[in-house]
Amino acid sequence: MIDNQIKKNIISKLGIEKLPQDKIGKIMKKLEENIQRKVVLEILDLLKKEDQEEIINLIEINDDKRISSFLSEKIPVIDSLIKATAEAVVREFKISISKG
Amino acid sequence: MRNSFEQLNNQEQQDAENITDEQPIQQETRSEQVPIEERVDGVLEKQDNEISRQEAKHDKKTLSGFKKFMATTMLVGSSFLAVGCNAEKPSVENSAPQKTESRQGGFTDNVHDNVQQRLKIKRAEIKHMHENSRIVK
Repeated sequence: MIDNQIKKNIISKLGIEKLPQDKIGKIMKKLEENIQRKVVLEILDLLKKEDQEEIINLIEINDDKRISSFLSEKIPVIDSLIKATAEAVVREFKISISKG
Repeated sequence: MRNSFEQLNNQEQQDAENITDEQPIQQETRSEQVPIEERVDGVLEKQDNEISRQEAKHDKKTLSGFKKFMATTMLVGSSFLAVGCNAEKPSVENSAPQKTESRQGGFTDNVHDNVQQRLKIKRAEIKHMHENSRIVK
């Protein structure tokens, strides 16, 4: 759950503040989903098949701690990767809507 | 009689001024909002299609397992969108375009290119680390 100030900042940075509230809500939800899906793809691209299988096994037994440490071990720059991917999706969105 | 004729003339002139003052604002609002909404829908659909195309190359079970994990664990108390927008900081993007990078190390003034450049570097770093760990073993 994001607080109101952060939500306002997101809306302002996306440049969608003039749109109706329900539309803004839908855009934010869809962008969040797109970023999440893109992050998953970026992570999968960096993992070997056997590492992917290992993680799926850990997900199935809900061992979140081990998943996190496994991912950090396999992809030490995972935080930067998430940030760069999220920024790329947002940037693409902003550039495309500003082109008109 | 002449007075009332002048009053009528003035009234007509005033009405005409009011119309020319009001009309452009209404038109501007209408023509500004519709294209933005259409553009937004188009961009989101394009992103969705592109991601779906990439997802089709992966196993469905792996993808859904990962998505579930990402949604519940990776960013507790925050959102990917907030990270992508740097929304923890107040917005300063209303006027001039941002110039956030110098031209050193392959970076340019285009922020989009720089993000892609950073992703490329990170991927290369990770590949290099994997190769090194294989050599050590």
